[in-house]
Amino acid sequence: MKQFVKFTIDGEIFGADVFAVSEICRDTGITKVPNTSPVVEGVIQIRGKVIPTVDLRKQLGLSSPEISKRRILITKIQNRILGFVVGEIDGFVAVSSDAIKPAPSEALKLDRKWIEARVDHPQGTFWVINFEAILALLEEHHRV
Amino acid sequence: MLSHLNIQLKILLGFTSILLLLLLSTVISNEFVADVNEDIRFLNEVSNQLVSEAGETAALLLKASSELEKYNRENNKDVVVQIGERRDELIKKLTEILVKIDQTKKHVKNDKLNEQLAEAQKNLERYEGFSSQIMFKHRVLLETRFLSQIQKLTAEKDELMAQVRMHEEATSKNLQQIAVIAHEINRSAIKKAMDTTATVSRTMIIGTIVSIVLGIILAIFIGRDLSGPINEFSRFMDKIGLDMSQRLRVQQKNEIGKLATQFNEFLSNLENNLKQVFVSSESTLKYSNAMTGNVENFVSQTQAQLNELKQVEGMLDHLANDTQGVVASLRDAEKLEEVNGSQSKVRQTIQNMDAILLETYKTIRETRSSLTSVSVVAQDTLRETEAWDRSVADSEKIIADMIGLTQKVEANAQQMEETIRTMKDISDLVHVLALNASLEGAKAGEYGKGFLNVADQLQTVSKRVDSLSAEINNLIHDDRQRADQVRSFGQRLAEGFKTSKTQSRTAHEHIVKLSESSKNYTNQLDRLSETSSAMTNLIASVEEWTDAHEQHITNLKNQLAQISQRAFGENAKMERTADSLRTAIKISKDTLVSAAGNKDSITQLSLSTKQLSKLLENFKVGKSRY
Repeated sequence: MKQFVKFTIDGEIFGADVFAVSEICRDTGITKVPNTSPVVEGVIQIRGKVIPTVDLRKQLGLSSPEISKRRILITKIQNRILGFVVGEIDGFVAVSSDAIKPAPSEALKLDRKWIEARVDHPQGTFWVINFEAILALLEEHHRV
Repeated sequence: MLSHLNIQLKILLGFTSILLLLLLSTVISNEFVADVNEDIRFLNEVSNQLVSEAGETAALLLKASSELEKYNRENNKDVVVQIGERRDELIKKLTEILVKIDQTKKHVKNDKLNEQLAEAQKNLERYEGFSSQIMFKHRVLLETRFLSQIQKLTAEKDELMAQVRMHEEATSKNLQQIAVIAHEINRSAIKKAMDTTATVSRTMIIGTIVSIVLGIILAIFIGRDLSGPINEFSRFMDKIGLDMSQRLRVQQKNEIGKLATQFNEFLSNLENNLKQVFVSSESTLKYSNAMTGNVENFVSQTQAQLNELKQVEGMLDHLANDTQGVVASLRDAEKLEEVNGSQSKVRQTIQNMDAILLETYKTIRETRSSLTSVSVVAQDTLRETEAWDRSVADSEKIIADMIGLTQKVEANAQQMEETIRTMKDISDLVHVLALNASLEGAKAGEYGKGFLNVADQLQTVSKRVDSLSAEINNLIHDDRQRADQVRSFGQRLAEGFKTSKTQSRTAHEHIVKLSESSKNYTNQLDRLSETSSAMTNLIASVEEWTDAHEQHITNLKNQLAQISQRAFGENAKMERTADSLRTAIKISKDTLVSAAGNKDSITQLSLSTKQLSKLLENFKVGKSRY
């Protein structure tokens, strides 16, 4: 069994492994920082810590109007703390391992490399985000 | 005598006498009480002493008799001296009691006490007598040697002893009685003290009542003395309105009497002055009236003369004219008839004009009355528009208040919205908190189930808060809309009031104009009325003239024949006479003018005199009113 946090971006439902997410935050304002990677939207401050934040909407190539209700997922991947701007949190689901399937490329209007898997669940199908890939891209940019 | 005294002195005298009376009664009572107290104190003392003395004496007596008995039994020689001493002591005590009783006698008459004392003395004497017999028998017994004698003496001694005992008891009883009576005296002394206190308080009450009654009588007396003359003065003031010759009677020599005398002097001065003014004004009036009459006579005479002269002149003129035109007139004699005809036509026209003028008068009067009612209505309307303006101003104020209230509602709504925003923010925070709780619960797996429940509860709370905020928001929205409606309604009302205000102002102006124009119209009507009355006068003179002319024509016809013959010869003479007549007329006219001037000045004089008279009359009337 695996547990996921579900959230919405532009009507599409996505999931993130609960163990990848350390905290869910309100969007109290992202401070723009000059001379950083274009992937990074800006930084947010949580309890005195400055956390670089990425707008998932942009990364997934979804062009939609401004999200009215924004949340920020604070993740800890490979000991790096990153914030991701997402839409409304949909809830939590527990899924058995056989329900997690690799993502089919053809039926996806999104960029495939950010999607890790597809989960079919009686409450609805959702896509699991590949945070490692996004981190890799970020580090690639840094190197450049 | 009393009425001649100063009022202040009178009051002082009265109150001093009352105070003296009170003082006197107090002093008398005090004296009385002191006397009685002294008596009672003395009696108390004496009676107490009496009681103790009697007790002591009785004790002494008892002691003496017991000693005697002892002596009788023992036949001891030494005891004799002791008994003698006791006897002396007893006699001394009795003498003291006697003295005390004598002292009591001065204050209380008590025969019983004396009686008891006498008895006690008698008993004591006997007691003494028997005791000395015993002693004698004892001495005899001591010397005798015969047994039979001894037996006999002893028996006699015992018998004597019994006698002694009896008298001792009687004396004791008497002494007890004395003590009892002394107690009674003491008690009666206390009772007398109480009686005395009662008497004294009665005396005090009577004294106070007498003082009060005396004070009231004095107040009535002084009050009558004061108010009597003042009332008389006020009655006199009512009476002198018409009659100045009256005088106030002066009976008193105090302040009021002085005032009355001064007032009388003032009245006589006033009366003299008024009399002088009356006399001089009446003579002036008489003189000016006579003068006016004279001048009027003169004027009328001169007028009459002038008229005669004018007549004569006219006649002469006519005569000259007639003489000159006699031939022509003779020729045109038949034309006179035509003139007559045209004159009757003229008369008809004049009559018609008269009727028309009457009609015009009537119309003018009617128009005037309707104009007056128009003006009254206009005034009423003006007042009404003013009242309407005032109520409009009030309503505008109310509307302004209403709009202010709606603005306050709006401000409140804004504040509420701000609060709801804060609430929503808090709910959002709770929501995120719930999410984080869920996250931690999910991570904890089986152990985090309880935690998940808490997260669910938090979620519910957040949702409830959200829905509540939405409801409140709706309510605020409704309130706001209503406030807006009220405000716009108030503004519309205010505009309506503004329009009605301007309209009422315009109406006001129109009414003012109307009343002005009606006033102008009335003035014009007045002028028309004057003109028509002048015209009536003119017509009357034309009528007169026509009459005269007719008469003249008739005369002319009759005289024509006579005059024509004499005319020529007299012509030159007539011219001269006419000249001198003209001169005379001129002089007469001048005289008339100057006479008229005189008359005017006399009339002025007479008017002034009349005004003076009227003023005096007014003064009289005013005085009578006063």
